[in-house]
Amino acid sequence: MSDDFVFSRHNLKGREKFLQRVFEILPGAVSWTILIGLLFTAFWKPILAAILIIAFDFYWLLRLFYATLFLVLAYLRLSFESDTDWMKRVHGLDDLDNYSREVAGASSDFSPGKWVSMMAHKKELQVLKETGALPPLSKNIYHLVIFPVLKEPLEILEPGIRGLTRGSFPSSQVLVILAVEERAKDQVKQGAEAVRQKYAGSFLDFLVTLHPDGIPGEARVKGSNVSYAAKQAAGYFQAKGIPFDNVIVSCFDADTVVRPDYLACLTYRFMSCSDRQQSSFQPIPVYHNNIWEATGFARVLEMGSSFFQLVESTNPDTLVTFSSHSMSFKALVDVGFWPVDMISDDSAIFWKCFLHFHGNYHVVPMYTTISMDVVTAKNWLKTVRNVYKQKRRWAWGVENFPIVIRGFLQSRRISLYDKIKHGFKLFEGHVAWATWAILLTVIGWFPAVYAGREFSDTVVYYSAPRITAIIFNLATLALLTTLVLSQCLLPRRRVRHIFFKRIILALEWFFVPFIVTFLSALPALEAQTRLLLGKYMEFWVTDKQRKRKR
Amino acid sequence: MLLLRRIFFYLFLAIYLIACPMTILYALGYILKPGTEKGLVKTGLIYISTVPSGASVYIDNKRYTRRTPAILRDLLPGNYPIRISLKNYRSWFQNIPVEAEKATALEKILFVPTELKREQLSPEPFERLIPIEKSRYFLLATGSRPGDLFICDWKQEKIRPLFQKGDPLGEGNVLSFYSVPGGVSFLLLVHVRGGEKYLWVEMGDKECRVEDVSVCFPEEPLQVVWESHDKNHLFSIHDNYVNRVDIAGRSVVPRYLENIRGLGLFHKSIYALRGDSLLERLDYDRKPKEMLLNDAALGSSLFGAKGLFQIHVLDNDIILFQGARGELLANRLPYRFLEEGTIGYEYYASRERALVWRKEDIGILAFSKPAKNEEIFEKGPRLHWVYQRGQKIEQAFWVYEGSHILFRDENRVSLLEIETHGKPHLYSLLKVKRKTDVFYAESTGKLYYLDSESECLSSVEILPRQEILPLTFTEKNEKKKSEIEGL
Repeated sequence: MSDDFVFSRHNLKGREKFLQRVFEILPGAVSWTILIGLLFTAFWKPILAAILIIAFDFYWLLRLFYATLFLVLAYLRLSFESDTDWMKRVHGLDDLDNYSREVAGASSDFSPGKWVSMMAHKKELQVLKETGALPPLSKNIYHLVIFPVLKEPLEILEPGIRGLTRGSFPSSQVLVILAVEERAKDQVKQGAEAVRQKYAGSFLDFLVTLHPDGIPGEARVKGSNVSYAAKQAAGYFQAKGIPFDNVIVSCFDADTVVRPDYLACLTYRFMSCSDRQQSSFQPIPVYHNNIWEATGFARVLEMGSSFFQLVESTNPDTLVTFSSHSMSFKALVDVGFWPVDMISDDSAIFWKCFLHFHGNYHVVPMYTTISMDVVTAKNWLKTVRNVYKQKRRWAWGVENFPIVIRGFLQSRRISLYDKIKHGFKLFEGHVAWATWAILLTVIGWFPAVYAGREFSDTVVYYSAPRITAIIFNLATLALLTTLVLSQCLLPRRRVRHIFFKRIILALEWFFVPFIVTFLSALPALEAQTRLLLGKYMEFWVTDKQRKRKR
Repeated sequence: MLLLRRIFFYLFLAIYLIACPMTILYALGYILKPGTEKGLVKTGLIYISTVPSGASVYIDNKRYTRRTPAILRDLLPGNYPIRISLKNYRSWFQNIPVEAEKATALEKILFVPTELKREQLSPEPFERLIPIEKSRYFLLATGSRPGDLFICDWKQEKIRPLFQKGDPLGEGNVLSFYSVPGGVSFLLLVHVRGGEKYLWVEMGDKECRVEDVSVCFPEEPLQVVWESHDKNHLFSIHDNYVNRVDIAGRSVVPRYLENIRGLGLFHKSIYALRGDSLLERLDYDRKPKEMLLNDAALGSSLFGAKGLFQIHVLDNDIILFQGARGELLANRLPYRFLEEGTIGYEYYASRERALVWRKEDIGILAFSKPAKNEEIFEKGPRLHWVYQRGQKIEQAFWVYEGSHILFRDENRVSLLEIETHGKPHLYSLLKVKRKTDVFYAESTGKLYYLDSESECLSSVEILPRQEILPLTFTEKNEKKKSEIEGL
């Protein structure tokens, strides 16, 4: 790939413009072809349709079992690491040789969870020693934490900032920036300033940046705001003489609340990663801030997102950054910050780095959680609309596909295997997102419901529902596992009527086929259709509301 | 974790590659058979659903483990003697063919009890039962006077007199009775001293309204037609002309249409067969809307030069014509279906077929379009006779979603199962009072009749509605193979 590859769909010419358009059309076209194709097959060749549906259902069942298996393993790993003293490990890495000996000689009277955690830790130390990529001392490592703000009030912002002060990592090594849009209301700006004044003394520094509107080449997206803030931070670090190599940047949503051990865990992951300057660090997002106040379907969907990330965390080979995440500040500066004209900045930054570093860029899973808000609104209908819009925005991550594939076509240094592996996963992921739920809950039943005489006289007409029923019954095992894990993952806060609330949450999972069809697959299909038609999306900020504490 | 992912990936891949083709083959009807014919063999199945459910199924006198509804799977192609039995019901037996990869569906087997559940609904005897097709009421008569008429609400199974004792309108002799399907009103022509009078009766939940509308009928009509619930637009058909009657306004427009040989109504349109044998559609204000038959030569060859026809518009595009001699025609090839003797018909809309009966025969006229074939001569619907051993068939009804026919042959009521793979099963059910009608309501599954001995109103359950299980999607399809071939 030529080094002048621009990670953007704008200002393209000739072949690049043509390829961009072709790859924009491809995901939507394939999704629609699958849906319409199967619909027509159900009418014209119902036997063939029934066979295809059985083959698909079976494939889906195995994928579901596969995902559930790794969901359980990932959850176990997350719970095993919940008591880990990350700062102890961070300090240990400061003196690697002695620490390695200490760890190697540690007694083995641990619980199974601690044993797994320790084994993984030992392996990480071993790899670090073998590669010789020794980390900087922890006292020289700085964190930059950016919270983008557009319309989030004080009560949304403050818990996240407060959470940072409670961490085990010294907050004197943390620079916090509230990246406020210039177009934000005065009330929001005043709120940000109030937070800054309240917490300025708790950190290395606390900045509030005002991102001007209408900078040439920028769209009104989150990426342009946080990039502006990161550039300000770069100047700050330069002025302070802090090398970028020693800075880890975390780009959070405004409602993100981290666990107290988050920065310590992140520091450890950064230090223990031999390729730390070309890595991102992905925590497990959970949506607990307002989980008991949120609407049922929104809760189920957000839990589904958490589970998806848990499953993904078991496959660092193809892991892509999502939502709130952290990364090497040096890498961020090297690639020219976040894309300033894309909505899906969270995943786009990974692909931008991946292409920039010729495939030598990775995401390191972090078995710690960050908590965000479940989308909610004043009433049920508005919540449906907001959830739909949020999922459509997430699904708009498909905008990465044409750019990434163009990048792959230009790159000669990324291996063909990596191109196929990442390209296929990106493509298949989006097509599956838009089609699977619709196939399972709607189109899969068409051959039987609209069966003509030709089909209703066949054995397959009677066998297919039986096989489908068996498959769906088996799938219930996965659902039950998910249901149990959803209960385990819930915050352990004291809440009134918690028993009944937990029962309701469990029952909500049985509506998952409808929820996923209407509030996940449909928005994804709309996003792909928009890209197909060239009707590009604008950034839309989801409403986040919490009950004020009295 | 990565290693584990790889191991499970290949494990699941192997499972998929092996199990998925096997599952699909099984779905198609292939099984792995041990023994002399070992290897993959094609099979078929038989699906059996009965009312009532829970019947035992026997193949070759060997009892199948499951009760109905049941699917008998993995059957090698061939004929299977199937017997289905349920305690207190007559057994069902037939040789059922099974083809490879095919399903033979016996979806609507209706068991007939060994002892019918009869219920007497009235203590007093009646002379006649007068049905009103598709209505929630029928009439009962103890004599020939209007005052001898009773209304039966069969949904509530309540009987009440049409007139209070001493009501002057109840005097005279009923000469004619006019009603339309689904209506809650009817017209009576009554002979009284000094002439004739016309009574318009509107039946309600609690009481009936009877009005003398003689002023609307200056002459005795041959037929009176109207759309149910529209009493402002009645059309009395006379020899060669039609009067328009407004019951509510007590007015009549004489000779509203002239030179007319038949008239039918449908969705506020008049279908008029003109004297020149052309068929025209008009609105109620006589404004022409469409010429439906514009070929005079074809018209006269179909309808002849004279004679009155009843016109029944069954659907937007299916029209039946019943002539005075019992000719039966339709606007579908080959147009003329019966030359004479048609006594009645009943149309089953969702399956687009009509039950037609003559004195000795019962037939089915299927209007659903057949699959396209290679023949260059277009084939229209055919009248397929399903029963030809009648003595004096006077009434017939569709039962159980068109799978059975209930008919009255003189005073004998029988049930004919028509969706079968062999000879249709015929069950003789009961004897009823002679020279009067019966009434069957599919929604309750009951037959209402006057008992042959006591002459009291009685009912018998033909189709136990509470026993019909909610249909699964596999059962919803109405077009099944098990229909009589050729329909």
